[in-house]
Amino acid sequence: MSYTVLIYDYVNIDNGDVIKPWLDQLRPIVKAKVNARLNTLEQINRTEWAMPLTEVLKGDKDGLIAIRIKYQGIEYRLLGYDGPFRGEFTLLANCTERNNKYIPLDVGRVANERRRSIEANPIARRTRHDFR
Amino acid sequence: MISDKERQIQESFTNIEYRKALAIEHVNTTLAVQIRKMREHRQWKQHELADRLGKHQETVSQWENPDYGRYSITTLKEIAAIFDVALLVKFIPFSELAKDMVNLSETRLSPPSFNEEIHNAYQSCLPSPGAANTQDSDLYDLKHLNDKLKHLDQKPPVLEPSVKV
Repeated sequence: MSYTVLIYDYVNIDNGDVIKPWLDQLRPIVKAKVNARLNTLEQINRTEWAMPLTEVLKGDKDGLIAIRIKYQGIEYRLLGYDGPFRGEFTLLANCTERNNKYIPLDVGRVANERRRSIEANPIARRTRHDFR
Repeated sequence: MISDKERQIQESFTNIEYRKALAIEHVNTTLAVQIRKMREHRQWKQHELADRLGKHQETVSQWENPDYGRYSITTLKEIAAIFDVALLVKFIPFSELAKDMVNLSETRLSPPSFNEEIHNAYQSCLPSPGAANTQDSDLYDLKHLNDKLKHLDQKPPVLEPSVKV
């Protein structure tokens, strides 16, 4: 079945959007890579999300998808999931990958906690991704 | 009326370093996705595309990675020729870049080959079953398409109006 998704950011109850501040402190080239990637992902069929653009995670990150970006040897990862509503993909946390390990090591737990927070209150705990 | 996303992208252009990078990354991401989608549409494996171009499978894998970004125009011309699509490389203002970024339709990401375009055009101008009359313009279109199909490298289908006039 063919469908696309809109990308949302997780919203922390105290500090607001958690993805935008992270993006804003990156070098412009890396921020541009992330936003170009997210923009394209929004417009291709969700069923076509695959390596090397994205990766379906397993184990303690089961149900999460990693959006993959590499720049000058650094493997950036944005973890998200399909939801909370149909046609939406919400970014939950960022990390880097080194030697097949995600850093920080507890990013899977953090992402899953945030996912549960969104599911409990989807209106307040997510906002449309800002492409500025 | 522009979308919120297009407006946000336009606003982001005020940072010169960012807009330069975004222009490059849009090209890198779009090319990688286009090459993969055009290959998959033809049901070719990476090694099959590589063989047709006299390259290694690993090279095709690199082309389909948005982090690669080192395409030469010569390579892009060769890829366009294999897929029988046109390659357009041109300089544009940033306002057009923002428009392009929010308009990545399926047809634009996986453009049909020349033969597919002709076939699709032929299908779209066939009279619908049960139509009372076939207009003169329809007949002209069919004749025009028949003429075009004669130049294709594949054997054209028999093109006759399905409705008698």
